[in-house]
Amino acid sequence: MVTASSRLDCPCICAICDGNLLSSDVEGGGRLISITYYLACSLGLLIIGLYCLVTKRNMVRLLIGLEILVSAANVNFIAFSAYAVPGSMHPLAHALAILSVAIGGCILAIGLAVTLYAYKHYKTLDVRKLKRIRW
Amino acid sequence: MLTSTLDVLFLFIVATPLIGILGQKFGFRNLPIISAIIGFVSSLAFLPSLYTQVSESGVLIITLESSSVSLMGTCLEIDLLSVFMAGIFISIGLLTCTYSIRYMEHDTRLVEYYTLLLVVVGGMVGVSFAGDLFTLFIFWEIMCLGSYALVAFRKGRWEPVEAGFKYLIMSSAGSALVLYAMSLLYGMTGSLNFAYLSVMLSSLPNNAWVYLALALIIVGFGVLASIAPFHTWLPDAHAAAPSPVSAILSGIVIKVGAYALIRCLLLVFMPHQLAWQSVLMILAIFTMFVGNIMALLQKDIKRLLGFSSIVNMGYIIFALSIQTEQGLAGGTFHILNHAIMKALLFLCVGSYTYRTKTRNLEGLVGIGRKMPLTTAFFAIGALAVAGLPGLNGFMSEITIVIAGIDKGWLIPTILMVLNILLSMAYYLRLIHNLIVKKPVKSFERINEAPKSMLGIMVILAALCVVIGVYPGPFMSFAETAARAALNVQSYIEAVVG
Repeated sequence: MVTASSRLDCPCICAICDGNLLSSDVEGGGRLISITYYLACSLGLLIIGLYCLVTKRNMVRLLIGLEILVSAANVNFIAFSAYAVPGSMHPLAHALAILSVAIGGCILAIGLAVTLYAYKHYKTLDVRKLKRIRW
Repeated sequence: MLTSTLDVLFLFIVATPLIGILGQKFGFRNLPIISAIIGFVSSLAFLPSLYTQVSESGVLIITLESSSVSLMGTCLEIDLLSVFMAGIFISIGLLTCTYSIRYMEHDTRLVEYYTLLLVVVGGMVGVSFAGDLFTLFIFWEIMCLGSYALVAFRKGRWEPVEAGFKYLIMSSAGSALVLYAMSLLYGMTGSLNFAYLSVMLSSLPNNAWVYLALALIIVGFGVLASIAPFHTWLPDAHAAAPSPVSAILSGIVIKVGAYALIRCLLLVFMPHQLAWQSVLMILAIFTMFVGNIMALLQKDIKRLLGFSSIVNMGYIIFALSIQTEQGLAGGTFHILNHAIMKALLFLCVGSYTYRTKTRNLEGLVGIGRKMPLTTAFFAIGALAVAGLPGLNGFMSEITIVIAGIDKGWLIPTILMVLNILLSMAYYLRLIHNLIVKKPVKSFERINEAPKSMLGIMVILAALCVVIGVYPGPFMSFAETAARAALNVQSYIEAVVG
């Protein structure tokens, strides 16, 4: 059974838990931006993406909303990877961010292809017109 | 490299398009079909050896770089639940692939179709083998991409395009939310491995971020598992897709959502079980009611079956929320049974549409007189889903009900029994319409379904009856799988050391 204390000593990890944000500046070699700003930015992106998905009517804009959602998570991954180990980067999160960007591209490609066919059938990009299927 | 089962599947994902395009050049139209079937069969053939390996070691760990699992590495961790799920996925994939030979014979782009079938099944097997959230997410997205393309496969009609777009937006939003939850978990613990996450989350103090991650994971996986407020994509996508694809979607793709929920909630969020248990129970009951009430109103037979899938996912989620060994055993057993029953029903409906070109319930009244064998299999499947004693659905449903009573949840269990009776109502109406009523329009020149389709339906219907009459070995396999999923401590010890 491993103890988690070695990881928990790391200041940045506690940054989420008990708000001990400034200590990472000391140990991490003078980082200027605390992780709170990154988290706030990514939460903002998440809310913008969800807002976009809920309110927008244009199909292409819905797909852009999806990309914003994915990039919210990517920002988080990169920020946390920089703060995980003082003085170095954590490779796992970078690999995941790169792969999720690639997967986002694939989803966008399929989504745009479907949008193209929807435009051929419905002659509009308004997603509210896509309601021929009856419940 | 990634266990021979998964290796073979991915080898054939690459090989099938190459073989298919070469075959098209030289006029062999059936080459991609043969390649896909060989792929499924050979990957299924490697599963027994994997099973013996896993049952010897408990948890089989496969890493690329080193022998032990590191905090920041990625790996496959295979336990008996993974093998159980992978067996279901590959078998149903093989059966639907064989069924597609006749069903898709008039379609073009068959190379893409069979490759996408392999992609979907390969992604699902990868999800069930994954040992960390990173691997799970990658395979999850592979599976989702394949299923988006398959739902919108007949792009010349408006219905698949509309349903495909809805499915794509909802499901991708769900997986993006899961990705966000993963990033929060990573920030809190510095790892994505299930076992390490479980250890570290139990030593963290409770805070809002853990609950945010938990909520996002339930919502994100719940979209694919069609938990009630997020279920709206399912009936559209199931109705619009070609019938074999509906069988795959309803039989196994939505089960992957349930599997991911079982893994994440039981393993990672075990310390926070009080937070999710009752929420999940209420969502499950809500899911059952929504599915049943909507199913009662349907005129389109495939949409009716889609809503019935939502109901059955409600049973499985309810079994997960009971969280005892018996409850989870009932849930995993119901995953197996529902995969068989719903695949059978969708394939029967596929035969109807293949012959009559209609899915409307009124257009199919009295079809039993023209297609007696198909309708007999349909009746077996429908009675099994409705929970007739002696067929397989009854066995798993009664296990879940007994587990719920043992847990002391009387009112939720009574609500579940009420839902089973409700589903009996519309399935009996369906059987009455198809068999008893006299045909309104004359079905001239309509014959029994082709033999290759009937063969697949015979296998599935026989499985329904065999599991119902003699559930012993299947039930004990489901029990060992559930025990493996619930035995968190030994899983963690096997990985962390």
